[in-house]
Amino acid sequence: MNYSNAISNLNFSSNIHSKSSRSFNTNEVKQMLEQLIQQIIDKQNEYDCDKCTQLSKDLSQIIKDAMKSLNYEQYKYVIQVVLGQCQDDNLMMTCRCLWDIETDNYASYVYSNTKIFCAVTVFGLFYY
Amino acid sequence: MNLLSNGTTTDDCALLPRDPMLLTSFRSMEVISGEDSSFVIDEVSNIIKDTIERIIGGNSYQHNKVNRWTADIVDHVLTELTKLGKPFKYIVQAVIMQKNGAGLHTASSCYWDNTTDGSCTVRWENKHLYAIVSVFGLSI
Repeated sequence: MNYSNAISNLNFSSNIHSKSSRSFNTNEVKQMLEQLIQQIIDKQNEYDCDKCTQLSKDLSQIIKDAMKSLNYEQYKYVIQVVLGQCQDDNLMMTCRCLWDIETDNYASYVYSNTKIFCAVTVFGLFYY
Repeated sequence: MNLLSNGTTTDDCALLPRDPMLLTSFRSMEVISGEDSSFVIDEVSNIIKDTIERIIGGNSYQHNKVNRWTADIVDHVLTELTKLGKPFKYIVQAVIMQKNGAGLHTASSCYWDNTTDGSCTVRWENKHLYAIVSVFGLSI
């Protein structure tokens, strides 16, 4: 499925920054995630095992491309997507990181409709 | 973050009491020359498996304990990773889910240096729950 129109529909409010090393801005990334994920997940009418396998992989690639388009200099990214069926289950997700507090950060977003839930975490790590 | 069955989410970013050993082992980590500074998947995978066995073992999914379990797993794995003494930044993520028949998919994509950085994901289960732990190591 072609999601390139989803990326081109994104509106960033903070493109006034020049390319000189600005640090990972959680709010900016979270806004981007909200726009992208709601568009993509709402297109799914139901939870389908095979489609969702491919969807989770596609979603992580799309978000990686969108992160590259945000133009943070000298940053490495790790994007984690967790996609699941909305049943009567509970799920607990935790993460811990060993990094440089001054430069590294993360942004996460959870979206769910009646059929599918999606939790995405993007980590940005500075490369010296 | 906690995703409950009624659809609500809570995002707790409160820090658990800091493990003083984590801080001291990071300070004493020196940059080692090329040979010993690569991400070894087997080593990391063993650390993760041992940690999960110790902390969860044969227990069933208990809502009041799961918070502590995930925190203990990530803390312990991170402590063991710092003991390896390699010049890496680490991200450790743990997901614990009840076995009730629902489907779950996880995927990750990374923008990094393929020659030096790596990741390791371990899927573990017992009769009552699934645990998925991912470790990403990025060289400095």
